[in-house]
Amino acid sequence: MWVDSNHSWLQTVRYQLGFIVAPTQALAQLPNVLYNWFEESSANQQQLLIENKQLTARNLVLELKMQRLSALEAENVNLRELLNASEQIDDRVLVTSVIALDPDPFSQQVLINKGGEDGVFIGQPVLDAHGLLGQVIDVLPYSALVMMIADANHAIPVQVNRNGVRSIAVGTGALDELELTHVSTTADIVEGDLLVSSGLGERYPRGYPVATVTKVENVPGQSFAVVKAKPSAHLDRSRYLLLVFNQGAGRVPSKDLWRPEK
Amino acid sequence: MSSRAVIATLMLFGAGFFLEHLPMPEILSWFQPPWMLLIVTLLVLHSPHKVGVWLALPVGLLLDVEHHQVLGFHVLTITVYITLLQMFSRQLQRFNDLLLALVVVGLVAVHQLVGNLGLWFISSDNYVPLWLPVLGAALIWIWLRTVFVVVVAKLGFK
Repeated sequence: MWVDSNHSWLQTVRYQLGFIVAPTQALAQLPNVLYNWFEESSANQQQLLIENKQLTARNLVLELKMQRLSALEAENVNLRELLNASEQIDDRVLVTSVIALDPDPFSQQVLINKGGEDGVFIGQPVLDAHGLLGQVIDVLPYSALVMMIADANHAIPVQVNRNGVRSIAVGTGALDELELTHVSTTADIVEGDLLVSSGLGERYPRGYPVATVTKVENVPGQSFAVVKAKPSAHLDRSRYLLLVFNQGAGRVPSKDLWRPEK
Repeated sequence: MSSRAVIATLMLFGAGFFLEHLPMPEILSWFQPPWMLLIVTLLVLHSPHKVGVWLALPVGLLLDVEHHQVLGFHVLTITVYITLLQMFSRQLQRFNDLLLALVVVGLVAVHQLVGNLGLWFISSDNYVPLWLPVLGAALIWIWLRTVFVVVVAKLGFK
């Protein structure tokens, strides 16, 4: 127990044992898979037509945004070249889906259907369509455990999109609330501010939406303000997630970085 | 142990891991009984001379992987559990079903206590001890044992 808590030597043993439990895990997911398959195949033509129309419209909007983004990206690359800085902007992603929730009601963790055989690694950032969702904390051959940003043991470095003020967003254990720690009472953070990942700590990629500030309260006599935020990612609803393979971020931590200090 | 009995035992373990991993509605997940522990109990009570503390190593390690727990955690808790179970196994053979169920639930509670102490030791301040799985075990034990006894009798295992 001590060795596994403090070193990564037993990670290989864990991974190999994962092959033994994988068949029963796959079997346990069968009812869920069958239900989803039945739900998808029983959709009638009318529903599919409506969904198709909605997706086409959404696709048009996204393509429009993409055109603007491509121009900005090219401009950004040019500026970086001028500054002699090399930074990859495109992140390679892998689509995955949630197959189970952690039965422990006090931990905000989900199990996904991609694992070490797909290149998933410990510390890998996970996103949904709306923002950062969390990071991989354990990898088995065909599944991986993701700790969401709302987990009480999780913290992520963020910055305010509007002005770049940096802070740390800590999970509270509630899916709809994060808390910013050690925010000075004079910090320029207001309700409605978008918090994006700052990329500090080399765990998460920079610039992805994390949360929106919902409450800023200055308590008289306290040195720090109470700042609450609502996660951008749909932590309780998203079924399909994205695993990000980006430069630098998410290397396997040297010494159990993902585990809380005692 | 015949090859038939080995296959049946492996299938029993497979079923146990299947049930351990089976997603349940949120309200029921609080009560999810420790299926593998109950299966280990059935096997120890059925063949106390063949099934012993050695079983804690493979089952414990696989449970650690299954529950994404520190390797060795379940090995420790199941070792304590099987040791206690073997200490009382001779007396337990003479107990009626209700008394046996009470003792097994008591032992599951001791296992949960050892597990909670272990979690308290290795985890952060946010650790929450869970006791409802003991209630789940109490509700499921008699049914599980009845099915086990019937299947063992049908298959003619000794």
